[in-house]
Order: sequence, then C-alpha cells, then structure tokens
Amino acid sequence: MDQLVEFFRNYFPKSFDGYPIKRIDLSVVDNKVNLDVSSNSINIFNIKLSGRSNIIMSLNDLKKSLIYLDLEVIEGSEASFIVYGKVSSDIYLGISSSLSKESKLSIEEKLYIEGKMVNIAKIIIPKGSVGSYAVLDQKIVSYGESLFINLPILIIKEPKCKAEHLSKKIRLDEDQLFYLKSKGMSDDGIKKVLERYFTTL
Amino acid sequence: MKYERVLRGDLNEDLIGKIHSILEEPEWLLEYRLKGLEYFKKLRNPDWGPNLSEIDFKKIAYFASPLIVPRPVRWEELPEFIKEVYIKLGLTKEYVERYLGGAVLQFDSSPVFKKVREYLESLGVIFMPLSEAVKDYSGLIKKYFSKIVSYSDNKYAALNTAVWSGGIFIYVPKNVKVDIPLHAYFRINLENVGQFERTLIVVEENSEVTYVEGCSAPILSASPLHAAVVEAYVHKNAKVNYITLQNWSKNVYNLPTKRAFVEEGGKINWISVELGGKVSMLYPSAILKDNAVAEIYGISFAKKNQIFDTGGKLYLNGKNARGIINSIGIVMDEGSKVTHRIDVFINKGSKNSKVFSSCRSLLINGETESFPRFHVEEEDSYYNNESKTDILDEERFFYLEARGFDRSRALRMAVLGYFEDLLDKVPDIYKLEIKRVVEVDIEKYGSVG
Repeated sequence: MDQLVEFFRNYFPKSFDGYPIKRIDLSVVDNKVNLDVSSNSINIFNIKLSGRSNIIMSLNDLKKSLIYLDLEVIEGSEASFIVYGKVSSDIYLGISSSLSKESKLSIEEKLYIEGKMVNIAKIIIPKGSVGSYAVLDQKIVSYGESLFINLPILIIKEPKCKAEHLSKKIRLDEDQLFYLKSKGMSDDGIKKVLERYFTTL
Repeated sequence: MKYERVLRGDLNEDLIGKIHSILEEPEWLLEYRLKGLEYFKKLRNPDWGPNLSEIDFKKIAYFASPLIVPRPVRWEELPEFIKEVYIKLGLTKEYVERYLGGAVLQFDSSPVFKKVREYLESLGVIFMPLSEAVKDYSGLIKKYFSKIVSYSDNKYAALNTAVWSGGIFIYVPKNVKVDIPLHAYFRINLENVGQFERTLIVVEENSEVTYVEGCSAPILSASPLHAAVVEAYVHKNAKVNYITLQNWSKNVYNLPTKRAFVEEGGKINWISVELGGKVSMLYPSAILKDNAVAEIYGISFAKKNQIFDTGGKLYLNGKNARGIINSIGIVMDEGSKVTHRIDVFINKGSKNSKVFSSCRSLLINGETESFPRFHVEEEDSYYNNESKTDILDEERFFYLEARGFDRSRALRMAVLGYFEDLLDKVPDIYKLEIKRVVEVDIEKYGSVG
C-alpha cells in the first residue's frame, strides 16, 4: 500500500497534507460490497478479492476527497469494481489493481464531471499471472468549468494474458442533439437524462 | 574511412564555438547554441521511462565529418565506400532519379550528397541541408528556428540545439504541391558518435509535401547517440506527410524531439516505423489551431533487449481540431519492451474537437505498458482511447497450420497482419520496404509462439 501511495503522490496535490486519513483493509470472498467514501478526507482502501466478488463505489455528493484503492485479485477469482457518480467538487481517485494466475478483473467507471477530477487507474499483470484477463472501461461526460485529467494505465509483464482498456469522453454531436430536440427535449432535459445515467447504477 | 574533423570530449563553450566556426554560421545561431548548452547542463534525464544513465557524454563525438573533397554534386562522384553503404540500403542512383523529388544523404555530422529535381527548384521549393541553408536563407530560417521546439524543451532538444549539424531544410511556397517524396538518409558510421541533425520544414498556405527520412548505423562496440530535433510549420490549409523508417543498429540511443505547429485547416501526418536502436523514445507531437488535423501513427518492433518508449502528443488549441494517435507495438523477445505514451491536452475553447487514440501490443514475449493521459478543459469535446494487448495463442497457429502454412510463415502473417491497416498510410514504395525489413527480421522466429 505504501508503494501505491508513493506512486500516486506524484500526481496528487499536497493540499491534502493534514487531512484525516481513513484506512480500510478488506478481504472480500464471493460477496458484493458498497464502499463508503468520506468527504474532506484521504480514503485508503486495501482490498483482496477472491471467488466472485463485486465492489461498488459512488462519488455522488462527495466533497473534496483523495481516494487510494488497491485491488488484489487472488488466483482463479473473478472480480469487478464499479465507480460511478457526479463529481462536483475536487476528487482525486487512484486505483491500482494486480491480477494473479487465471484471474479476471473488470473495472467500470461512469463519471459525470462538473468539478475537478484527476483519475488514475492502473492495472498490473505481473510475470507468472498466466491466463489472467483485465478490462478497464471508462465513460465520462463533463460540463461547465470542469477540469478532467485521466490516466488509464496498463502494465503487462506476462505474455500469456489479455488486457483491454476503453476510455470515452462522451459528447452528443449535432445529429444526436437535433434528434432529441425534435422529440421535444430541452437542453436542460438532455443534461438531466445524461446526469441520471451517470449517477445511478 | 578517413575523417576530416572529429570533436569529442567535454561539452563546453569552446567546443560549441569550434562547431559554429567550422560550419561558418551566422552569428545569431551561436546564441541559440550557447542557450542550448546552458539548458543541457541544467536539465536532467527524465525520471520516467527507460534508463538513460549509461550515456557517457564525455565519450561522445559531437561532430564528425568524413573527408570528402570536393563535395560531390552528382551520384557518380560519391566516393565508392559511401556509395556502397547506400546501395546496400536500397538507395541506388536509379531509385533516387526515378522515385524521389530530391535526396539528401548525411554521413555522421556531414551531408555528403544533395539532389533536387529542377522543376521543383523552379517552383521555389527548397530542399537542402539545414547547416547550408542557414547561410543562404538566414532571415527565413531565423523566423522559424527553435520556435516550436525550444532549447529548454528537454535535455536532448537542448543538446541538439547546442551541437546540431547537417539536417534538412524544406521550404514549400504558397500553392505548390510537391507530388513526389523528398528523401533524406542519415547514417552513423563512427564509433560512439552522436548524430544531432536538425530538420526544419516550412510549408506555406495551400501547399503540400511528403518527406521521408531513413536512419541506419552499423553495429559498433560503443553505443552511439541520435538526438534529433524536427520542427514542422504547417501554414493555413497546408499538408505535411512525415515518414520515418528508423533502423539504427541495436546499440543506438534514439532520442529525437518532433513537433508540428498546424495553422487553421492544416494537416500533419507523422508516420514512424521503429525497428532498430537499443533505447528509443519518440513522441511526435502537434499543436493544432482551428480545423487543424494531426494523425500520428507508430509501429515499434521490439526484439532482443530493445526498449521502445513511444506514442504521441496533441495540444488542441482551436475549434473543430481533430487528432488521431495510433501506436502499435510488437514485442518479440524476453527483455524487450514497448511502452505506449499518449498525452492529449484539450484546452478551453477547443469546441467540437475530437481525439481518437489507441495503444495496441502484440505480445509474443517480453513486456508492454500503456500510459495514455488526457487533460480536458473543454466540455464540448470528445475523446476515445483504446488500449489492448493481444497474444498469439496456439489456436491461431493451429488454424493457419491446418491451412498449410508452416509455423514460421504463420508467425510472419500474424505479425504483418497486425499492422497492415497502418501500412496503408505509407506510400507504396515504402510499404514494400517496411514489409521486407520486417519479414527479414522475423524469419529467425520460426519456432516462437
């Protein structure tokens, strides 16, 4: 975990020095867990995932926050992590995940950004993790005076594995907007539909 | 081979002064060189990416000019030993005359040959070594020199600004389309020599040019260094295709800085094929104004202990700007590695701008990484990035072997097929050359899978 904090320290601001640190170590076996993130805090989660496990994190209504998340997927396990919600404050999210032999991990991010967000998601497949498979899927929409910095990182040291990443910052083009408006939707209505999609699971 | 001058040792003001006086440059260039020296000493090696600490700056020859007097003006007058080298690389007199609009050949620090078609010269096209152009077109070059890649950009751009020699200057006047490629070939021949060529391309409004550079070096016992700087100024509605075929020997450090400034409606295509070198760090970049387009395509082919750190950078500073970055790595051996780095800045005001990027690696052995980074300030923008690692599993081999292809042929098909779509961006004559070089390179991998 200290290595993780050290890695992300290069990317995140020093303005969090002195903030309260909330640290949680979890071992999840064949279970579904909702993570509770605290505002105005440094949140550190150290999670071991085994069997078929799902982790969910909501960023809705969260105030300035720094989140480190270390996911370790145990041999033969299948795990998923979903983070979603509306970011209207300064949120710094750093995810580091590591896969073992014959394990699978899916990370899905759905983010609606109106504030400032730095998002780093790192997947490592170490040497020896034969047959592992990782997917990182990010969908992002931003509005107003937002600033979004995104670093999706794949580090692959094992040749017999698969890893994929897809990141999309969504924008409705003229044709899509025309279509929705022709059906009677206002600009605000369109924004609300998008907001609803990104702030709920 | 005999050398007229070789300058090595401590990199200081004396050495810079000697290069400046050998090249008989205008005074204003000395100021840039000294600034470059100042920043080279000030800046450190990057604290990310491959290890560059083994580069011994004290042992490098910063200037080496082969003894060729007088400078040949016709192919036939080239000394036999130089002609032989280029013929082995496929550059024959017939090839130059039939397929190219112009050719400049550089051996170590010095241009040894230059040829441009007369009709291009009559249209006002300039294609010549930059070290000579600074004397003939000093005012024009001063206007653009070091304006896109500053001496303070990074340690190796600073080094290049301090000690550069040779290189290329291309100028295409307004409304001129250069319909056949201009070609330059850079060769490192002396042990532990640094090649610091500098390329400046200025393409005026509504004009177009395709420029191809090839690089090679024989296997030498000490590691040579190649630290080039390329600046391309693409004016309104102009277009530049820039193609690099890099085939340095397996012990060269290849650390160039390439950047384009693209004005309204202009377009730059960076296409790089990286085959050689010990360590290569290459991130062609573009600054885009309104309606400008940049396409950056790279293929890196990493074999035994080769490290490629590659990708591209885009700075979107205009409405409707468009960018594509497509980086492909093929990692063949244990100890080899391809790292994809993509940097995209979508600045406030770049309304309706779009960026598509992808990092793909075919991992046969070794390692691969991808580090895309997106900095988005404009809400009315779109980007899409994909990173993917593919493997060649037994099922694919079985499929091809069942259709009568032996394992070696199956591997070659899989590797060539992996970047086939990118090759469509390259003119046909170079497409064949790339395929041939890659095929020769992977012939020995018959049993891998």
